[in-house]
Amino acid sequence: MQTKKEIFATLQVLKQGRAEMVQDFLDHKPDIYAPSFKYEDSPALLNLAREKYFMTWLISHWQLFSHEATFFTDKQKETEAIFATVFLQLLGKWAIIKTDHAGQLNLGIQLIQDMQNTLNEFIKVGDNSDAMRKKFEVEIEKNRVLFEREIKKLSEMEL
Amino acid sequence: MSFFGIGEAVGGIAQAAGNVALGAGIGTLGAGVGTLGTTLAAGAALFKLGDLLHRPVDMLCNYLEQPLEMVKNSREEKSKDKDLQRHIARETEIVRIITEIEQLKKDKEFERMKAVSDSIMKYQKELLRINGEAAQAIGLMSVELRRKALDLIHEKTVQYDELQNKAWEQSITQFSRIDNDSSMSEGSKAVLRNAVDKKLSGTIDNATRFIVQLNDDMQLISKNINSITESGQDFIQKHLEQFQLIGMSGNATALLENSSDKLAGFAK
Repeated sequence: MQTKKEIFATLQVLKQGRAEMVQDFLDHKPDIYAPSFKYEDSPALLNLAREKYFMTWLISHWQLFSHEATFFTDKQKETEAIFATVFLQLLGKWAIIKTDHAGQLNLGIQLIQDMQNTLNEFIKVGDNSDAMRKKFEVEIEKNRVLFEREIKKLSEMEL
Repeated sequence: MSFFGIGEAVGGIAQAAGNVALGAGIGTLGAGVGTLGTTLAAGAALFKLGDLLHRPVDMLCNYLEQPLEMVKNSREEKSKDKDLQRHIARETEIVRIITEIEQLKKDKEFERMKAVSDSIMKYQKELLRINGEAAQAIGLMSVELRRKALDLIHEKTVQYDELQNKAWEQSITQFSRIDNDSSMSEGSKAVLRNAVDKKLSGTIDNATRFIVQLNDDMQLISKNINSITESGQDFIQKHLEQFQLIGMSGNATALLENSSDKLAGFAK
């Protein structure tokens, strides 16, 4: 039998989660704002950086709950089952998991951590590619100048 | 019931893992290079070369796009035929690129460009090596992650391609300036030609490095995706052990093991 108290714990976590996100924006958290400038020419990387923030935000619900649950020691199992279903539904919105069965909470948490790692790898790939492109850009300019220098030198020698 | 739930959840992540991403065909990225040929007198061989350099980049992009299309078509009976057609198309494309490079090497104009010729050989080698590897790496990704990878790799490829076009255009203009300069002696022209040849060879080396890096990065991502699939498998394994401990009936355990095997099959 679910009581109001157990449901309240989950609602409280969701409320704190929303409040944290608003606060992150109000505080101009670098995780949100820095990529907007760093990746202004790269929509794909900007999307990945945004998604990375949301993954961190999603996993924070679990941390918030772990703290909240300590107040419900008598019915911890029931409280966790309610939270797990809601949390998995939340993860479902990000296509991380396709089920809200409470028994799969651990899998949901593991998957979200793996997703964070994968997003980091994707961002590294983009940064690698940008670094390579910048080197190439400098090389093109260097080649242009060297060619002009060479053609000028040879033309003067001909004269 | 809950185990089928897990299977479904993890299945979503491992979806299409067995489908090796195959794809070929000439994309649109290299189209701009050919148009220079009509205005500049640097020779047909160079333009052909430009086109050949772009094609592997297009192919890499197609590796990423094809699995997404395959997912769309996965419920169709025809998808196996299409898979085969894509495989044939890809193989044909590789053979065509190599044949065209061989033809190019016979060209007299091309003969003069020693450095470019060497770089092309390296490029060709890497292309052959990477073809299978990249396809496999992308094939292991989930649909959602493939889409992200596609957006990223596509964006970076287009940005790189713009730069490669710029370098190519610059080389062609420089060859043209050398050829059309009547005040310059043949000796000086040869020196300059040699310099541009080396520079062009550097551009091809860059293209090789770019392709290699893309491939290496894909392998890295793929390794990561495997860990996601494995975390699903570990989870099921743990549950199986728990059920065996509490003495589940043989039939039910066999059913669950089947479900786990199926999942493992996705990752192969």
